[in-house]
Amino acid sequence: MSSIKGEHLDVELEPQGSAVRRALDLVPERVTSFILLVIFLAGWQAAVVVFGISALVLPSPMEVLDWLIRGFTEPLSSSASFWYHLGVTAWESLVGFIGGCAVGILSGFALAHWAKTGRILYPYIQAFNALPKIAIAPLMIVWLGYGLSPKIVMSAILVFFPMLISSMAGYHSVDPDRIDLARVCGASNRQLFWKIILPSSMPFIFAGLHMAVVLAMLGAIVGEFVGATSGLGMLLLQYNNNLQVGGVFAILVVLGAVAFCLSILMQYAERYFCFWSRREKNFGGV
Amino acid sequence: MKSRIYSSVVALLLATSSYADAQNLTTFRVVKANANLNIGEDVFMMAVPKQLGYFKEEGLNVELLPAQGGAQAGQIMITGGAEAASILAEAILKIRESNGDIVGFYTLKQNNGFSIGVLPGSPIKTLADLPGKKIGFGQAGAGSDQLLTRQLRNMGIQGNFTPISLGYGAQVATGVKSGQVDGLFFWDSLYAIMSNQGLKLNHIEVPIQDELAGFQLAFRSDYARKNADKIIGYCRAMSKAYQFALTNPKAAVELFYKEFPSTIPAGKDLSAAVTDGVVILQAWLKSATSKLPGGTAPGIEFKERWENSQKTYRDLGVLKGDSDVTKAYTTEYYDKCNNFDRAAIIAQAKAMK
Amino acid sequence: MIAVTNLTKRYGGPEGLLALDDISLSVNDGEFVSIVGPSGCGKSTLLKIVAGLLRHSKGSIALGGSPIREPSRDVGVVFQAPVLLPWRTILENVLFPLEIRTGQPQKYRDRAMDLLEMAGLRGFDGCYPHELSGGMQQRAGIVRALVQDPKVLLMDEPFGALDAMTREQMNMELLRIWSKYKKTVVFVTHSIPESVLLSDKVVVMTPRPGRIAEIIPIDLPRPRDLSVINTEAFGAYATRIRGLLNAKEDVTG
Repeated sequence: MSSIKGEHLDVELEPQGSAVRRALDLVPERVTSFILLVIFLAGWQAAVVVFGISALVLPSPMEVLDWLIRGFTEPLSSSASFWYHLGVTAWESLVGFIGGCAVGILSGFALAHWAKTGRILYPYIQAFNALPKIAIAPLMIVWLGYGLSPKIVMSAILVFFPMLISSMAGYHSVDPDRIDLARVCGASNRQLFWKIILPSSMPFIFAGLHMAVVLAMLGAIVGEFVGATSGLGMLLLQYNNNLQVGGVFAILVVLGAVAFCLSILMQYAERYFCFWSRREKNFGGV
Repeated sequence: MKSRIYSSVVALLLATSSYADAQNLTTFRVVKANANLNIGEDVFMMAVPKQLGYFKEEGLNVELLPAQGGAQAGQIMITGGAEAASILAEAILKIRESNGDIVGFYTLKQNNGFSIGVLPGSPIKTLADLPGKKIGFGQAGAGSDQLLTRQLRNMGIQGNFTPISLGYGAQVATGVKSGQVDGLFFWDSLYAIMSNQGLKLNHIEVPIQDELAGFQLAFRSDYARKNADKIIGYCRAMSKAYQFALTNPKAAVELFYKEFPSTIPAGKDLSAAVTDGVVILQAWLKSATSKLPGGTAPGIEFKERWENSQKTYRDLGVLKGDSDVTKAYTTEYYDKCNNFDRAAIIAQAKAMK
Repeated sequence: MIAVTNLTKRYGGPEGLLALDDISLSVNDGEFVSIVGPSGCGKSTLLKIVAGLLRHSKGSIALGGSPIREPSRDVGVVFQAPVLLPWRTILENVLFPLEIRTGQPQKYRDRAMDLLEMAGLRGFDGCYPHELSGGMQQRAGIVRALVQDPKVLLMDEPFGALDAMTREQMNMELLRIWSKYKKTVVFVTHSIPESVLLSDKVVVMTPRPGRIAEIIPIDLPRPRDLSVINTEAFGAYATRIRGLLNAKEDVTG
């Protein structure tokens, strides 16, 4: 649109767009997301009621909410308490995560550093990783019993491989100039590792950690599927086998929420440890 | 040998870590043939005797452990991970063929309770209608579909149905509702669960199950030799609970929910959940006591049925069928397990509201 | 200070790539020596050998009389890129060599701050490398090389990636620092005018295998400033060097 006023040409440079668009621009994004969620839940509830969908196929959000409320308001000592089972699964995942990361990162650096050994061992590691871990889980129960250890081991196994790969990549990514710098300053191998290689590898390690965090929980849950008396995975299976689909959905909601929180945590951690990696400017700029 | 040492260490750790030691109770672990708690044998194998103190009377602290199926349960017991296991009779025979030390001593369920389930109005009215149809199983090839085929042949019915694997869970119900399968081959308590949720099916019996040895409670014979008292202690407490459940299934379900609150459905009031639970338990008990001569206590087993099991599964190619079937089970414990004041238990059950 | 005698460097065994062939030169205490040559002539290789990062194949090389076997505390290196560690502040970066060698960098904090001020980086000690321009980063690199008070400064095309104006500025800065601290400097460059401007003598190298074509003493008065570039004497030196390098190689100026 333009209008000619005297000798000036007034031109509206930005096209205005539709009214809906303008309204949405006024509302902050978080609020829009929330409203979307409300609309989604309302639609889900309506669909279940209007179409008479059986609870076996799709429970209504109200029913899922019943399961969530019951699960989170039960006392901690009750076997129906979500807090209790969440705690068990969280603990298994945490220990597995830490163990798998430690072994994975150290192995990754070792295999990258001693490249010949690395090349010899790597095909075996790849072969092991190709195994469907879910097939290993029942063996864990036979070897390690019913306690927490088989779940922790499952969790650690799933975490190990991505951390191995990412730390190997991180090791190889270190700028050779930095290594020269350290050598010129007379650095020992230990100093080289802690002060140059490890910090340089952080962005790669974090790429692996994002995956590892989710896999740690997955491993714990797969372990619980196979033989457990507690944990969210056990509860999920129990609800499923007793055709309590509302309960299954409730557990899925909990797992989704936990995974979401973990990813946020990882993002904060990455921002702290790798604050420098995206903003490294090229030498020669202004 | 190594695994025995390892599992002994595990067993030791499990035993010493139990609170029971402070109360001078011996730990007794039973590993069961499924991975979840559900209304069925768990009611009298664990919930009722624990809640009513029957285990304590026998000086036992009992732990119920899950497993993925009877074969794994047997494996766990044999390697020392448990003192007793629930397991199908044919699985016992299979393990024994590999020289596993496992002996059935108490029949938990006379008839395993499988039946064909079809939607009302289905063209399948008798077993003779099965050939050419798609039938849903938990896992095709795991044994139940072969058993069904055997049933057909025994009745002179030729022709085959198509087995479809449905897994376990809500998709079993939707599978038959949507027509993905023409009928289901599942068990009593699962049908009861689905019926509680609104899926009513017609059932066709599969009587071959009455001729075969039923769902067993088993031990390792070398454990039993030195610990017969503990076996009997567990078994007796369990039999009392079995009688209790038969007499007052409603109270039994309430005790089950009390012991395992995670099994209580949410969003329903407890009395509705109990009513549903009773439907499930009664369906289970019906098969469990099927064809039991009047007045006979549960737990009994017969040589002919064991022999039939071996023969049937040998013909199905599951077993080699050359081992001595009389060593696979024992009837010595039946009387000892049922050696209690039955009238008192019945009275106790009736007295509970 | 530095004595290189019949130095040869061959990569990969007796039949391998010959990088340097029979190099002999000496650098006196406090001298500013440039090494000029076309790409691939081995000047960076020579510098790395002096730095102790590479071993030579034949001949000998000595620093202050002792053979060079490994990186020495008396040698500070400035690389082509600033190579600042991005997760550390400028101050932490600058103290890095002392942190490695002594484990007590805090003791040298004052010295580092003084050097930073002298290099025109006052107030930037708490900043991170990405917050500085390229020229400032390279200045920090120079401060880092100086912080352990080395006798010798080795510089490998340190201003190569800077724009022309910044480069001239940095050249003047470098001369100022050099005359203040009286270090021995070995300076590798592509740029003929830069070499003439800065040095007491220029070592001209041939393309691979690297040999010394000529060592040219630069007899221009000190202190020098940018106006010396326009003098006749300067031009004569530059022409002579260019002639030696056969100007068809990629040499600026």
